[in-house]
Amino acid sequence: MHQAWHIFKKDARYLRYEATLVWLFAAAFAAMHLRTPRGLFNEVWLPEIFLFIGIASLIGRLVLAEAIPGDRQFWITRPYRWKSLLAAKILFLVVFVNLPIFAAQFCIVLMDAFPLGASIPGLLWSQLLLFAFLLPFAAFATLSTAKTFQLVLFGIAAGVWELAVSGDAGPLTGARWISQSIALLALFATAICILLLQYRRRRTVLSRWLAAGGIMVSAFVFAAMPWPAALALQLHLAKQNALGSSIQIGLGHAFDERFWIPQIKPKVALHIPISVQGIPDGTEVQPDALTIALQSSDGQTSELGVLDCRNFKRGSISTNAATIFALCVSDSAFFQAQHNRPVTLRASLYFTLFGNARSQTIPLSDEPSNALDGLQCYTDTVRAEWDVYCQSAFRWPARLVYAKLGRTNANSFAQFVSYSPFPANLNIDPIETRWASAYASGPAPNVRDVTIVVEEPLAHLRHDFSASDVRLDEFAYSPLKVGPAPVHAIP
Amino acid sequence: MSDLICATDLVKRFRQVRVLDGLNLTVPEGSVFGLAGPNGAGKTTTIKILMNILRPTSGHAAVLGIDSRTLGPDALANIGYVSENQEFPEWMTVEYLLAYLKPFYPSWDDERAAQLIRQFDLPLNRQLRHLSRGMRMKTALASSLAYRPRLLIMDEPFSGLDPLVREDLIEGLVESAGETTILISSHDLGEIESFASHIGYLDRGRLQLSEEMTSLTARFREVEVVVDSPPLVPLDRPWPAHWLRPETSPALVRFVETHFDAERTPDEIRRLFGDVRNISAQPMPLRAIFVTLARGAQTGGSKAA
Repeated sequence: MHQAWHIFKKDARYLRYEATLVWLFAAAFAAMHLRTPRGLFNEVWLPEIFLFIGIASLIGRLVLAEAIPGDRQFWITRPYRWKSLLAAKILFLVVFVNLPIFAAQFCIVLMDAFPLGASIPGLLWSQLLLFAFLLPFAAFATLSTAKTFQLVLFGIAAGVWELAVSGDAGPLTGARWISQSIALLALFATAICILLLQYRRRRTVLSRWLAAGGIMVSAFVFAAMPWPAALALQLHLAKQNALGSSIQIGLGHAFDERFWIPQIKPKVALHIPISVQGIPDGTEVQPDALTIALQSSDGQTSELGVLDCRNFKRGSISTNAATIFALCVSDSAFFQAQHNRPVTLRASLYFTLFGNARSQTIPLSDEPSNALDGLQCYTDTVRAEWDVYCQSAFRWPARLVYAKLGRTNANSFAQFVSYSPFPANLNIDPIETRWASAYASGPAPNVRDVTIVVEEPLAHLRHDFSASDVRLDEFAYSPLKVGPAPVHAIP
Repeated sequence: MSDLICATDLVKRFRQVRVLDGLNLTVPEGSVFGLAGPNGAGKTTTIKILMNILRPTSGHAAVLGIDSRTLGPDALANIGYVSENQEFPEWMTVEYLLAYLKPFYPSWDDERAAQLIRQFDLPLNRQLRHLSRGMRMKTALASSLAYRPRLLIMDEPFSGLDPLVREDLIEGLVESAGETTILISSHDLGEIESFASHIGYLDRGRLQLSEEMTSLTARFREVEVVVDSPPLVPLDRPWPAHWLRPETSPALVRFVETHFDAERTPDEIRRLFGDVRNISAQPMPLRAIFVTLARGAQTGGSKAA
């Protein structure tokens, strides 16, 4: 590997200014992160963008220093060993892309006083994810020497980055990690094949086809992976236990209070009530997804997939029972034809049982205090009166989190919980912050402590249920019944 | 003497264009082989196949006894390559380029490198992007001779260079000729002529001839025959196939004899023309030989040559 080190030193000399810039941007990113006020929105996006541009430029120039396509490059007639060349390029990526970001994240985690030992897996996994994300773009950069191609490529990289980074907080968050991981894995495998083909054989045309195939597979998995398949995989991977055996699920009664929703034309909004009985003591049901098949007496059918029923709202809760409302959008043709006729409804509810609640009371101040499961919580007396913020390193824990102030009800944090088993998400910014005030009401309690309650996922379950003689009219959105925006929705 | 390059039935097609059409080429060890031919003849393509930059459509080429398609770092450590349109890392200085390349070659000779730097008067601290064309070629040649390669392949190295630089480059080559086999492609025949030991003429993707320089120059003669007049020599009479570019005037016949023999050729002339007043046979410069061959190829006569 002497030759790899030799080539690496040459590249380091050649790209010394760009590499220094990346280190500087990373340092600026860390410095700004630590200087800006805590909260949901900070100013670190600016150095993050510069960092991204710096990295993109560095990778493009690194690859083109020994360009693969073409027949005039001096290096192809010199005794380069392909393994050494590839190793040198990868080493460069690690030292001048991963290492600065690692250092920036390490400083942020350290200065924010997160427990270092607990943060190490996230720190390392974050680098692995970043490497797995950047390697495909480095591989694609070997496919052409045209400047326009390089520009377009890194424009696409920026778009994909934004999708990947922002795609983890919303409905269906729980199983999204599966499609993201498969898509990233497909891209990574494509990158490995391209790099081997290009550096070993310089087969650019074949590599371009391979890249096109890999990108299509990855995009398909990311955008169009069937959710039932992802959810089924999630159920398969999860530790199942007998907790769910007592649970009975069926169609509930229509409820007058409705979600506020915009008009969805030509779709029709249906509020499907789901009754959950027999919830084990000390556990809580968190709905993940719902699929519905409607069949009329004359054989007409309508399928509502996971993406048609994305929003859930808890209607009523008692100790062992709950009613959950799912907002679904239905095909208007089917609805017009069948809305006042009896139809048969068959549905599958995917849900997670949370339990084993633990709590910790910490001082409520502007300075974050370490709480349970890697969370740090604080308040913001400057910008709001009694908001409670919690932040977590590298990812939000796979927990339901509540904050309880004095004798008030526990306020829920945004509960988009990912069931990913990995210790970090793909992101340069290692800190994820959430806020529990949206659901709080009333005057600020005069307290100095906050109790953070966390519940862990105990079982991922799927229950099928059916109901006959259902009249869709009862569940349809009606402008006359529209009430105020809900204040107790389950996000 | 073994052959360091041996190409057999090489064919290279770019889409529908057949650039090489069954090329056969051998370059003996220790030779300076000049590969000549008009533009578009396939010289650069041949060299790129030999260097494993391009893959042949069919046929086979061996370089240093290795299939050119598998030519790897071990073989390349013994091969030098200099091309007129090679892209170098422009940001490097001459000194850094030489220092960078040194570890790639186990046989790198510092003394030889220093001697080449002196001989070519290379500006060590100047970046390649700031070098003149001539200086770039000198740098390329120095970086390819410093490790004393067994084989040096050069693609149009003299193209666009001023005479002084050419002279410098040739001097550098001549000094290495003893230990290094050289294949040099050029359409500048005057330069090749001065130091090539073997010559090949490539046209339309085929090697039209390949032989030692001494033999080639010995067998080509521009022959001038002064004939008694009348009778005139009719142009439509069957000429020997190895007589090219015949021209006649009332008392003069001129042609290029491609198989000159001091005894046989005059006999053949007399057989054809009867008594002639005078026969003169002048040696031809390489340029004239190839012009004759190229024109002969256009009229279908070069095969006989």
